[in-house]
Amino acid sequence: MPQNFKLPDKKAVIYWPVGTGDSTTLVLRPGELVMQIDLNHLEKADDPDEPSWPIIDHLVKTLPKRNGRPYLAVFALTHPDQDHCRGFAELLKKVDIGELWHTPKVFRAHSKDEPLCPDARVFRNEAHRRRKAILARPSSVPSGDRLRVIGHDAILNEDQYKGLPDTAKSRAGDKVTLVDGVNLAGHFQAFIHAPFSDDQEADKNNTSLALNVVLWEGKTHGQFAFFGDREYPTIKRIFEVTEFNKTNTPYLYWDVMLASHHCSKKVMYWKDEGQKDATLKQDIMDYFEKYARKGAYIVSSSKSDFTDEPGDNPPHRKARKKYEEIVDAGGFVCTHEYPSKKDPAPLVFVVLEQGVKLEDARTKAAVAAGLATAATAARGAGQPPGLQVGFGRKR
Amino acid sequence: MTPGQERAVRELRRLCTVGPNEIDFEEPALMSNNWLDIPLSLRIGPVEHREGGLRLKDRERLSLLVPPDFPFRKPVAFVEHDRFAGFPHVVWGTTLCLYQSELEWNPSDGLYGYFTRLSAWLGRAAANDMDPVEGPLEPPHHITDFSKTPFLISFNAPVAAGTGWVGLAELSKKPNRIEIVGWHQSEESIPQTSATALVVLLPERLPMEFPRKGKDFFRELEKQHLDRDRILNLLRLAASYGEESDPVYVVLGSPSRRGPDGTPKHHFAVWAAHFRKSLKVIEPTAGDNDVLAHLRKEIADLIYSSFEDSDLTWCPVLDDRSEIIVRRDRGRPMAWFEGKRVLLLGCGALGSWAGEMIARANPALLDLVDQGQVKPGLLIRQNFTRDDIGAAKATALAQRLGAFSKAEIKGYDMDAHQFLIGDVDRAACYDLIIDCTASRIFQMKLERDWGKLAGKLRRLASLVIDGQAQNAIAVDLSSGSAHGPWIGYLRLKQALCGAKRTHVLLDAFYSDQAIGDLFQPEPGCSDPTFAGSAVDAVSLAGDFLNLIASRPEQDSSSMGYAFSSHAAGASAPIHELVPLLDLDVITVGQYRVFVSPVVYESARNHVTENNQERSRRHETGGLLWGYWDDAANVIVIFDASGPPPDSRHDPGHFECGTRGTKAEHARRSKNSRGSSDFIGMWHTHPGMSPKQSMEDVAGMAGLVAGLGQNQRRALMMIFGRLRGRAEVGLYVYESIDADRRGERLAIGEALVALKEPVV
Repeated sequence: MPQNFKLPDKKAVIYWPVGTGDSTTLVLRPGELVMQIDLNHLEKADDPDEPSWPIIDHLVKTLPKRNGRPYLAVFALTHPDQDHCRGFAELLKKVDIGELWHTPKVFRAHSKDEPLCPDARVFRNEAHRRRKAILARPSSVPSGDRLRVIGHDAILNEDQYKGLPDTAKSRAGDKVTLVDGVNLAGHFQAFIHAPFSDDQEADKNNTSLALNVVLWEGKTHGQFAFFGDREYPTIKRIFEVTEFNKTNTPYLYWDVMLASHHCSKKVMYWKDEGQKDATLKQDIMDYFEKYARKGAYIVSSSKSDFTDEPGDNPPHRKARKKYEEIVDAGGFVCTHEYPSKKDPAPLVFVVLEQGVKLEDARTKAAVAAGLATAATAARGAGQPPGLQVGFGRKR
Repeated sequence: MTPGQERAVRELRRLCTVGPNEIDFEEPALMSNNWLDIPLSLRIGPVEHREGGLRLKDRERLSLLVPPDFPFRKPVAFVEHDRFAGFPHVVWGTTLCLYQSELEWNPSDGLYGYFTRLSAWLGRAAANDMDPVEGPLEPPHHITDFSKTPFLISFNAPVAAGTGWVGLAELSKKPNRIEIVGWHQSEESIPQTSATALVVLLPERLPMEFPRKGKDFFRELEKQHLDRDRILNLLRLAASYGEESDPVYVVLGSPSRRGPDGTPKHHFAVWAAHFRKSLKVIEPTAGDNDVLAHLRKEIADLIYSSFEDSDLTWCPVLDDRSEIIVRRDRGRPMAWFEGKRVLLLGCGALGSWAGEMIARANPALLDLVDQGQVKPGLLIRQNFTRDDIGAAKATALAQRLGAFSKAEIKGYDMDAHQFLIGDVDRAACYDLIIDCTASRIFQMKLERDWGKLAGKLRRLASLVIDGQAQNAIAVDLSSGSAHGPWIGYLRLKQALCGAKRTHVLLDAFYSDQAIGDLFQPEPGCSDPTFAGSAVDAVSLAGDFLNLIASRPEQDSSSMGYAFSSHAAGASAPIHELVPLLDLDVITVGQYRVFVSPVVYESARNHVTENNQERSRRHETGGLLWGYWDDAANVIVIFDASGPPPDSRHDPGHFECGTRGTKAEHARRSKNSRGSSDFIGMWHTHPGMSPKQSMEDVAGMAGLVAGLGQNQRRALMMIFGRLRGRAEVGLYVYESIDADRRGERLAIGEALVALKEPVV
């Protein structure tokens, strides 16, 4: 993998090849303000032969500098699962993080069935540290101590949390333009879809932070949808609720959608009560398609080992096929297939006055290349084998 | 499921195994017509998309219909959405047209080949490259009623595509077709006996699929400024043409096609509408009162709404326009004949087939000349039918060829020589005259009269075959040829005699065998002819036409050909091309004397030898060898030999010896198979004019006179040079009459300047 990756000098959103897990970097003000949504830094990614990118190493090299140290304006954690915060402890040591965004789920006590991984615990500790710092000086919170708790939860009414000022809290339906104390209105806005107030008892996946990030460039803009690891019922609810409130409906549109839960089939195949098997929920696919902007992309932040075997974790082939049906040819992109499976590289979507553009490093074929390759492979080589073929009795 | 359909499913499974992300299919279902319906899901991936191209989804769903006799019949793919509708090579909005013809489908490659093709189709569709501008455009689709008589359109559109035009088509009604044989701006120029139809050429394209309902179709016409009143007016006009019992034909053109060169062309469709009688009465007249005017309007409204509510059907249209149809003989020599004016002399075993082959190549004009009659025995190898028996060959063949050719074809039941010589101006109008008479007499007479035609004919080619119809010789004479085919054949023979490998041909044409091979088909009352089948005749006539048609346009030289049938026995086919270079032609009395450059060269060498052995003042000479034809009035001098060893050379005198000359004559005559014999003598006049002296006259007179050496005729050639001017003198001596009182000789003479001196 190249060692000289640099963040673009334009507003941009970067999806990294970090295995099956999420790591998205948003350039909000080039050279100054960068936001990171989730992190999945794999130790083995430091191996030069491993296709996954060691994201922290690259962030340290390419992030803007403040006081000589790499500076990240915001780190947003959609939910405290390992594949969304792996490496946070290391990131915290190597990078100055101006503001943390997270859901109240981080503060909730977790059962043995839903334990926090070490990096999530580090995140929770850091959130508590900041909470205390804010409560100590609520009127002038400096960068490095800032926090934004997103979503309503009863826990926030408890003593240790209730003193948090409004500037440190957001709820579903809010539009956030403040980034580590800097108001980026007209350039950046994060519309909060979820968590909803009654999500608090749900599992971590379904309390994920769901955002629609809008980046403006002149009169045009790009929209980027994040659903964390949400599943069919709670994503559908996002569409239903947002459609109900007409003024918020524009925040359902998307130019790039990060496939929820690394391309999980549970987004569109769901087993309702009384049903034996999960069935396709076309309504959610219709929602996705309805709000896809022209030339939209769906990103699966995952390895390329798509599977449909029962019990297998994502990425799921069934989900991929459904997503592929609603975007233009080449519009479904797996981070570990871009531009090739052998040498994956970050997907960089820049926001220009002409709209969102993927600096597409893939070769655009004059034919449906995969189809042609499959036909060629299925036809057989038609020539002598390249390896010896053994015969005779078993020795 | 048939074994073929099972194979298709197995191939699909294999495709899915090697490309699990690329291809997927659901449970196949057998349809009532025994086709297998297999729902497919195909990943497209990143493909190059260009403006106007099909915007493909990353994954497309389509159905594959596999016929029972797969793989011998190809499957059909269709989609159940309308995103592809209106796109080229998508029939009726849903069916993907992947193959132009069955030839492109390879049964052995089965679905592997099909998906390779499909991937390319999808790629080209995305890149908007389905109908490259350099190629033809896929024609629009419309509902065709195949029970109706098809329209054949043989003539190119009257105006360029994109130009609106309203006019008339002249129709020729045949049992199997209604042929459009002309376009007319008004009815004045149409023959009264011809049927007509209204023609409306639209300036803009109609949709790829013509709307089925009249209402939708009229809406499309309205976009091109043909509103209700205009449509009704045109229909009313159309109803006034054609026969009462026929539907009202409207020939509709729209610029929806491209020619082979990529330029836009009209697509033609023919609508057969009803209500002829009703349409005729809707035209208001000056005498209409309010009631009548109202009635007419009501009828018009009824007709219009009836059209609107009905399904439109279209007549089958067969296109034969040169602006659309790529010739099936594209790039082949016979394509040369397109648009040419051709005269074919002789409509027998060779000519009747040659005529057919030429007529199929779309010449502008083909005139056929023969004064023979069709006899039953000829049918075995000539291009006639039993119904032609007793008819004049030329007219019968013209009628036969006219049945399929667009060319103007006429038959002339007359003698070929008379046809040519009788109207030289007419003969001069042909791009090519082909002699298939195989008649020596015709060729000799033509040679005799060549002076009337020389320089006027553009090109003349002649073909002769041998007695077994296995070999052919031919000459192809350019417009500047100084001689006709008779001398052309002589020269070809002379060249073949000097070549290797040609003894088979020489035996076939110039031997006792050549005569022996001929036979009388009706002993005692028919001319001898060759023994050969229709296949033999077609094969040699076809090769001949290919040879002459493959000559480059800029090649203005004359050429001789000798070739054998391609499958002529065990020996390798022979194919000789002999350039017939220009000869000097000198008119001497009634003769045209052709002098080969070899003559000058040979004489020059002997003069040089003489000058070295003796002196420049000594005269020298020798014998002339060639061909003398006093029927055609031509003499060809092929060679000049040196002085026989017993000759005497003196300053101012040369006496030609005789030693060895008889043997030389025998050798030359044998080697040339009679085409190069002794024909006279030559000698020099160093430092003098080549005018004959009294001694020369006495010598030649003694040579030709019956009272002398009785040669009857001889040529004398004298090379002289006076005051630097090199000349040759040619003198033809003939004994033309003799009786007891004496003998009368005729002497023709000519003095001609030489470009290069001999003496």
